Amino acid sequence: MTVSGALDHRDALLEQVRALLGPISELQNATPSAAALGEVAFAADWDAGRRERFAKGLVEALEASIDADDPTPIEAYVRLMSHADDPIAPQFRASFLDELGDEVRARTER
Amino acid sequence: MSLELVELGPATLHRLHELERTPGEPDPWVSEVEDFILGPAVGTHIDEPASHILLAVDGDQAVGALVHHPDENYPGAEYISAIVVDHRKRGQGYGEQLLAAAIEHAIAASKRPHALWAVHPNNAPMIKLSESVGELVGVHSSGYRVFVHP
Repeated sequence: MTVSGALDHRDALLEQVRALLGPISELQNATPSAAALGEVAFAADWDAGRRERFAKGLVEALEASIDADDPTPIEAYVRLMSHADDPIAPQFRASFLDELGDEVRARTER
Repeated sequence: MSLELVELGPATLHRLHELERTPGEPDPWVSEVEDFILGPAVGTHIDEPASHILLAVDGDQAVGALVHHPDENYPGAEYISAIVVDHRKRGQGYGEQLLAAAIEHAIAASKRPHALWAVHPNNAPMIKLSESVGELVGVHSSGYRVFVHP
């Protein structure tokens, strides 16, 4: 990578870091504004605990991107988390077992 | 062949993109699990902090992924909700290794004595594999077979 290319790459990463600092702070507010959340506006209606854990995740992913000088971790984290509320088929939840609850408990708690 | 499980978190979830969705029109149990693991499964780390999402790697190549999590209704077991082998790695014996690794990790990480998992009724290879390492607990009304180990 040329010096110019490296600088452009670093600028893009720094811009992304700056763009997420406001939303991360906004996630801590009791009633966050979707507009202020920007690209993480999908989290505006999440409960406080979920927003807090998401904010911690964003910080972790940002730190990973900064450490690696690579926007991939933070970009992927935001993109993947935007699907956190997609429908989940019942077999992927432990409650799927409830129909067989007696058999499961008899087998796993004996 | 030496399978290793890598715990994924916010800083490393991008590694899921090392997996490739099965092209064309895969069997429904394949598309269901790929939709889950490459979609809302990532939310389990904020919704269920005790959950685990893991990438299976062989050397520097990702070969699959899995998710497991506890449920307070079943304190004696950890539920392995999803296991997938990348379509480029199927038919090479990874499924057997991945199921064994998933069971071992689910029990060790949760400190619960048993691991449970459900298998689509038409997924004959996985049913056969599950019968070899686990015991059938019952058949869900949807047809899914629920297995336990040990």
